[in-house]
Amino acid sequence: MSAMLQVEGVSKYFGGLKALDDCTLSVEQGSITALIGPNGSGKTTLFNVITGYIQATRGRVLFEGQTITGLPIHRIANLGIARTFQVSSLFPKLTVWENLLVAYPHQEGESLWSVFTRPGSIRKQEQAQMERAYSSLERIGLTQKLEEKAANLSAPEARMLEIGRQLMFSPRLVLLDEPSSGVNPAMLDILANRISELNQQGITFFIIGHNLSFIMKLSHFMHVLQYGKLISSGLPQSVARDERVIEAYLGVHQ
Amino acid sequence: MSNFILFLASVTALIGIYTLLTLAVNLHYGYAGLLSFGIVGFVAVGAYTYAIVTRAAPVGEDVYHFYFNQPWWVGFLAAGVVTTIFAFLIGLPTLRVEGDYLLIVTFAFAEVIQKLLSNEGWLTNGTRGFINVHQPFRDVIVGKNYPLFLAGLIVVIVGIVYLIAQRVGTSPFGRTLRAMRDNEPAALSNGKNVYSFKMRIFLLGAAICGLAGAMYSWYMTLALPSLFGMSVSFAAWIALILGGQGNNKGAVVGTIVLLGAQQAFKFIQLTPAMAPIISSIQLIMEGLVLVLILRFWPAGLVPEKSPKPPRLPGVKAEKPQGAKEEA
Repeated sequence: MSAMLQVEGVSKYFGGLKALDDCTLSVEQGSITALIGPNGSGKTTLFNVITGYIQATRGRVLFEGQTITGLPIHRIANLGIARTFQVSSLFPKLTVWENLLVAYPHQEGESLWSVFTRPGSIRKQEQAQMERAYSSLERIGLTQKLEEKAANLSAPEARMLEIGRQLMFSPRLVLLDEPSSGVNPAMLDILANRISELNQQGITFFIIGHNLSFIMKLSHFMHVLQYGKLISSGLPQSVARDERVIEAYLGVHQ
Repeated sequence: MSNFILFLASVTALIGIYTLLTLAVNLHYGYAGLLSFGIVGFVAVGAYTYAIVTRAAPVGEDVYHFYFNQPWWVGFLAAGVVTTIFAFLIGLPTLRVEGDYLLIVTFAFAEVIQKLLSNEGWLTNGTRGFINVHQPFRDVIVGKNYPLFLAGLIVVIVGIVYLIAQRVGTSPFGRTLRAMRDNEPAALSNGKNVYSFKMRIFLLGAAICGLAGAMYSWYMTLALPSLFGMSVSFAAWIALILGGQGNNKGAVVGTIVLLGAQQAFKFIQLTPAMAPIISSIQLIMEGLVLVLILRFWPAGLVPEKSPKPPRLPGVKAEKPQGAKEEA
């Protein structure tokens, strides 16, 4: 296994606040890597730096050996890095199937010229995408809700749809920001299974999690952040026993 | 009777022209979520471009320097092209600002255009504007038939633009616009070049406004700065909110209802003293109706309808079966 994503000495300061302080970590190809840490430790900031939503103050990010720091958001996405957000990233007034199809990069039908000159070829592309959408819907169990507006889905269904949409992308690396939030506990296992299945199909995951039992079961490797600093890295079992991690979560035992 | 038909033809032409503006606002706001209030600026650019391109040499007190003496269709195409170029220059900086700021910037643009029209006499003939603007086929169709012909021509053009807007709206391009409107950060993270999408729909809407401007100058046979006040933008916006954003049918219905109601006011018999009062009441009524619509039908008279998924080859009428299974 080799490092698919490398974060090298990344710092992000918001004024005097060090949201990220000289972070160096990597995500191995084919792994499910978790990023945990108390509230405000900089997890989402790191995701934002990786995906180009904010610029790092210092340091760089490499994806498959290529520096991606400074690239615009859509360029980074097109390299094969998909992400979900803590808040919903669905398009509420679009139907479930539209939410899936819209995720496709570089559609011929997104060119105004082709819309008028090549309707046949666009229809074919739409059908091909729809076919993949059907299989994606089956994997996330939303086939029945095909024509429902995304705004009308329940929280777990919406979460599934977000992950389902990433499948349309054929991403190689998926960043999930709190996938377990808002999903009812009974469905967490299903969610974990789906993520494992997708991982076995070759997709690398980098997951932020608050729900530790969920994330422990799921991940192969863990990074722990506190006050923007990486305080521990390793296998889930060893990280769970690391005193610095226990301190970060529970406070210092006097 | 024939007077009534002429009145109808005139109302049809006017509604047709405003329908184009509402369709443009719908492309900008309904599909793409752009708060574009400056469309009247594009209308003015289109109308003046048409007038200048088809103009003959100045006479009397005219002060303009440029005239091209071209046939109407050259002027019509030029109106579309020049307006698109204008929109590109406006869009270059402004489409990077979001939401309310875009509203302010486009609003200012329209105001600036109106001021330029009254002050740059060498180009626009100042506050005198252009009178006797060249109308298409005026020399072929004579007398009372002409308003009927013009109404017909405008309806045909509106029909074509409607089909174009419909095609764009239901295409994957339109879908991406609606996605961008609903959640821009998510659209970005899906690899959509949001700026490019905004620019393209901005240009398309502006081009439609430019053509509408040329048609407005056929209808009025005038191009005057005072014709292109903010009330034109407001009318198109009210019509869209009334009819329903995000679908072209709503845009058409909204325009017909709003302008139909405005024209119907003309049938009220008045003493001259009453006229200003009634016209103020009309504005109050429009505002009131808008508030009521927003309160009770926030989606408009014709709400946005979700499109059907593309049918796969070999899979026929799947839906009724699925519905049965569910039941």
